[in-house]
Amino acid sequence: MNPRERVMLALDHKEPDRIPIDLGATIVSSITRSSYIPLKKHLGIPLEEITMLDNVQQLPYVDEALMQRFGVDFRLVQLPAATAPGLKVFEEGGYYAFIDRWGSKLHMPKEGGYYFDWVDFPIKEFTLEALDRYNWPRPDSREYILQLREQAEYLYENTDYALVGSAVIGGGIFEQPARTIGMENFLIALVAEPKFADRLMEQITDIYIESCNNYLEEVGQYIQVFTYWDDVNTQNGWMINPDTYRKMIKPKQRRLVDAIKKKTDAKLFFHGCGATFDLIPDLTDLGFDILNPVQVSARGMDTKRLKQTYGKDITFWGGGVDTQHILPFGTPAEVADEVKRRIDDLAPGGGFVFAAVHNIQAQVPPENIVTLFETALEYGKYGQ
Amino acid sequence: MNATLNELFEGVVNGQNEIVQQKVHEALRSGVDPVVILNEGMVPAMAEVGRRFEEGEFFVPEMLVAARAMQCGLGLLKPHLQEGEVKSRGKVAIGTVKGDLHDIGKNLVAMMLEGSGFEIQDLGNDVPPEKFVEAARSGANIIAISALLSTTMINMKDVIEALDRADLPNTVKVIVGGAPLTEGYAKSIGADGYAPDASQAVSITKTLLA
Repeated sequence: MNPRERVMLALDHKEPDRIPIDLGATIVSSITRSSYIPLKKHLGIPLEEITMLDNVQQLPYVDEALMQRFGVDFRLVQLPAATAPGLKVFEEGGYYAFIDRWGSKLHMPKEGGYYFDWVDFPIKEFTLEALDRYNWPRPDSREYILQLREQAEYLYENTDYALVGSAVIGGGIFEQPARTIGMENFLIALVAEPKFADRLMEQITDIYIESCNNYLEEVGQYIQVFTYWDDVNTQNGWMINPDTYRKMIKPKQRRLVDAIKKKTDAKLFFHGCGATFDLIPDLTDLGFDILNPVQVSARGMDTKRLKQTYGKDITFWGGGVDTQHILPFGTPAEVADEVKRRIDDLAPGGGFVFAAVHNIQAQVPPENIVTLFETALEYGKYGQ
Repeated sequence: MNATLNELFEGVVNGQNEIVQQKVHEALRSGVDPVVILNEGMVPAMAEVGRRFEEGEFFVPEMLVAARAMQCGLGLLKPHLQEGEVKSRGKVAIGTVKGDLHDIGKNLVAMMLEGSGFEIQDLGNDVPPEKFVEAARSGANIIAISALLSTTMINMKDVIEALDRADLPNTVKVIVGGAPLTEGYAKSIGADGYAPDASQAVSITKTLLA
């Protein structure tokens, strides 16, 4: 059984020969640079020059040798999301800095920093006039899209991997406003300036639809999975009132999903951190097929309960190991036990893609990462 | 409680800046003692906001607009409060740990504490241990440290060790919070208190200073 067949069976809620494995096929199931380098050294894989896929989260493009070593069934066909090609990183006091596609500034502490975070925002007045004046970002140029098409076509014709991509050029429809006006400002605007918040989200949705259309017209026929991300939950539940979500955010997500579905048969992947249990019915209603990252340490995210309740409706992509406590701080034996437990919960009947919960963070011991994937490969075989 | 204070209370809970401004002015004009306005109209409103958050009736946005309305009311009231008239419940120096720029949790905790009568010294983001020590030396009773990341959470221990080494003239208690933290982790690094959310951060601070 080749990887693409394996993946398609799993996504159709059937049991393939083994659980499909992901590392690096999305910007939310990869590995940060500071764990990637020691991992490659540990495995004796030559360290070639690192190309960054996501500067914000410090994610490199994961190289072929590492993907093959861990049995990864996917390959990524995507440009960086938050940053336009040709990004310039500069120094500003104790920080590295850059400006993203949206004109927002990000900082990463030179000392002890592992991520870039948004610190300054282009929209400072929360009025419709400010939105009119704002210099909205443009989707990637056709030149880049045609390069992606060439890559997708090549991988589709010459390899057996399942192909994954996206053209969402920023955070989700709920996340990106926070990255454009500041998170507190946006959360306040949602309840205090709903007209402004609504227009901001509508215009972001328009840009995403345009970008996704451009991408899918060229690449849509080759990919098996299209990814979208939007964190509307916290570790304890909803970040905002679910009624606000359903009234103000979900209809825009629906507009985007409907546009994507017109252009591709790929399965739709939704990434949402935290306690997403109560969001799942909304996701399936929107037409999403896959939930990621399945943050097992968040409230109500017990994998057994998730599988029992929603296992027939949605594929779980992630949840393979708790990333907040066990993967970074546990022993290899504890990692192996945790992986087996999650596989026991999530694998039966298919509808499961093995990945850690979110990107593998900095300072994770290489031994734990190797154990993670070796256990998944071995213990993840069906029919044994 | 008189009608104006009642409306002020409602205004803060519902995050209505204009109503809060109006009602503070109205109460002052009709001769209500500013201390009474604060302690009967506003502080209980923030407690109510905390209660609604814990019960799942309020979410982060509602909490933020209420805190904003509270600050707006406090700003109007402060010039009318005599020095030393309102007894601060204690001074809290708060910041995100070295390496961490995520501050919404920290800001919520600061706003909820301020709304509950604590004096806040906001040290900002990416705060090195020395700055926390300096704040403790200059009179903070509580050091509050926040981290969003499992990778920066471990720097909290450095702050606690620096405070231990600093030979401070006063006792200072340390509270910690943030997404990757647990009660157990807080204990293991020697913190005096842990809270899983902003509302419970207020209760733990009150307990520690009781």
